[in-house]
Amino acid sequence: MEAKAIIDAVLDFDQEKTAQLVRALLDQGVDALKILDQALIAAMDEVGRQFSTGDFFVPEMLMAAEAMHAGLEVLGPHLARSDIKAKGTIVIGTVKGDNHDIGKNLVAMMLECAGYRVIDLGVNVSKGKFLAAAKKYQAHIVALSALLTTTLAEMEAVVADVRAKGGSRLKTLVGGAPVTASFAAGIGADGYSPDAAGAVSVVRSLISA
Amino acid sequence: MHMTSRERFLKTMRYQKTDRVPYFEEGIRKDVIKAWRTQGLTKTAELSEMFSTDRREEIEVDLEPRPKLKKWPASRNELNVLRKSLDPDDSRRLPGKWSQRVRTWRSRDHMLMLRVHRGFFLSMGVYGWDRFSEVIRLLIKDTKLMREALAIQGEFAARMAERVLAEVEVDAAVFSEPIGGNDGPLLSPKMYEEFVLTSYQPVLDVLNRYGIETIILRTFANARILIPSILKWGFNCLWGCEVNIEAMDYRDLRREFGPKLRLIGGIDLDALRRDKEAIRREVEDKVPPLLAGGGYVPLADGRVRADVPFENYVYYRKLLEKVTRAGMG
Ligand code: B1M
Repeated sequence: MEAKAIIDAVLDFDQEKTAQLVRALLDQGVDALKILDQALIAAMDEVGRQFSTGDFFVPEMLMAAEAMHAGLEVLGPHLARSDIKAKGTIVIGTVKGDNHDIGKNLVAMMLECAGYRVIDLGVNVSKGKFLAAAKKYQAHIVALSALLTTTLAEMEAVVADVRAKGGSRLKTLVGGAPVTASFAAGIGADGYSPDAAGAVSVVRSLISA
Repeated sequence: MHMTSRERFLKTMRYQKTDRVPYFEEGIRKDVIKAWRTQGLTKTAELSEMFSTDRREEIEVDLEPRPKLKKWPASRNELNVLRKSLDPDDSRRLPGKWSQRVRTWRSRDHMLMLRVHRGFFLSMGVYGWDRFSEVIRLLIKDTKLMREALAIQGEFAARMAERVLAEVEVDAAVFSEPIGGNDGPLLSPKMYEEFVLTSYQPVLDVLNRYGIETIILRTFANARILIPSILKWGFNCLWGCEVNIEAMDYRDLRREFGPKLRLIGGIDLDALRRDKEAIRREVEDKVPPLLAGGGYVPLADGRVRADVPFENYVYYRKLLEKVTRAGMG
């Protein structure tokens, strides 16, 4: 399979070419899951790597994600639902009292591009909604974003709620401008990432743990 | 040697000797004062009388499109709509009671600055995700449109600055850059130079023409990697607000950029939320070396909010005075 061409197309932010190359591989009979893993997700891994080394910034990340999505759209009907589900489900939202969503959306987008099923609950999400959605969608992770120092207490409350009632499989991931690694550890969150690309590796390690 | 707040600021920024360092007002809001009234701040007490305080004032001209745009231009043909909505001669763009204010500013004792630009994202109409992703897309997919839209904003901001500077002698100019992350800016330094700083050039030309000595980038994100770029463009002062301060420690910035970069802020507000020991460490570790280098105005790195106990605030202000006065010899 010629994965490199697709990876290059994603890294060139070329939506049309990405879609066209994915279609060509499908026509050749290549397995859809293989295209997803070895071409599209591999491309986004490279995007994440370049983001962490400071070669890519948000515009590059976002445009690559859009190209990847164009490929995913072609691939979608050929993927069994179980293929996506198998990677893991993440329920994400900005905690109650907080309406900031730019950072949260970038995180959601990167997680989706890494092949996870992402249930985005939006902003100003109450404690109960996180847990209810996690149960409904059989999520592996509840991901919380907060931008206001005044909503950090709400984040702590959701993490406590998930720990108490979510069962041992359900993990928490937290992030947002006022959130630090030590704060995350202090409230008992299972994972923390300072940025969207990093959130993908944290999720991977949490789900495989 | 007694100085006015204005002289103190100007001389600090010129690395000259002052009677003491400026103690800027933190812009404490009414809800905070209300909370503090229940924590020991007596009914009649005024913070500005309890502690030495240097008044600062910011001229905020209206830089928004007028009337508000229903839809931001999606092609170069539509740019005229933006151009028309940014009329620098519109008298409503100046703050109220303008002539009267201009007269009183002439004999002021305090520091007065002019906010000249609202930054890349706000000036492009980003207040939420949809427009954010649209603007990000344009930066890569339609660079011509982006450059022209930014140039229109830059020209307009320059004309507005000129309108004010023709009448008022200000002590500093502020470019604000609110949207970013704690881990770093959203745009690369290369993109920031190519698009944003290039569009600021007409404003910087006006500031130079009027001899504005202090040109501040007030950032709400970790802008560390942009500093070489802003210095290249003629900025000479950084004011970091609400930035995870470990990411932008002013002592490191001073070591790296020396006196080219004047600094405002740098004191971690989280210490004020915690306890006296945290405040003591924060102020005693950070302020003396910065003060010794000059060109520094100590200030909490964000707005003091109601979650800061009054007792901690009092301790902080007293300690700041003690440490800074000792530092001045
Ligand atoms: C689950 O795992 C993870 C992992 C990583 C995660 C994660 C989750 N979530 C985020 N991350 C991380 O990854 C992202 C990408 O790498 C990063 O996300 P960020 O979100 O940090 O970064 C984004 C990519 C870019 N950054 C942003 O989008 C935030 C930018 C700033 C300027 C900001 C904006 C844009 C807005 N605001 Co607001 N706003 C500010 C912000 C200042 C700042 N620089 O942070 C901040 C956060 N706001 C503030 C305030 C006070 C407010 N805001 C308010 C409103 C708004 C706008 C609506 C105008 C707008 C929001 C638009 C939107 N739809 O999101 C109000 C609150 C409304 C509410 N209830 O939420 C209001 C209260 C203002 C008012 N008086 O009305 C301040 C908070 C102060 C504090 N420490 O508590 C503030 C720091 C600005 C300031 N200095 O005043 C990482 O943090």
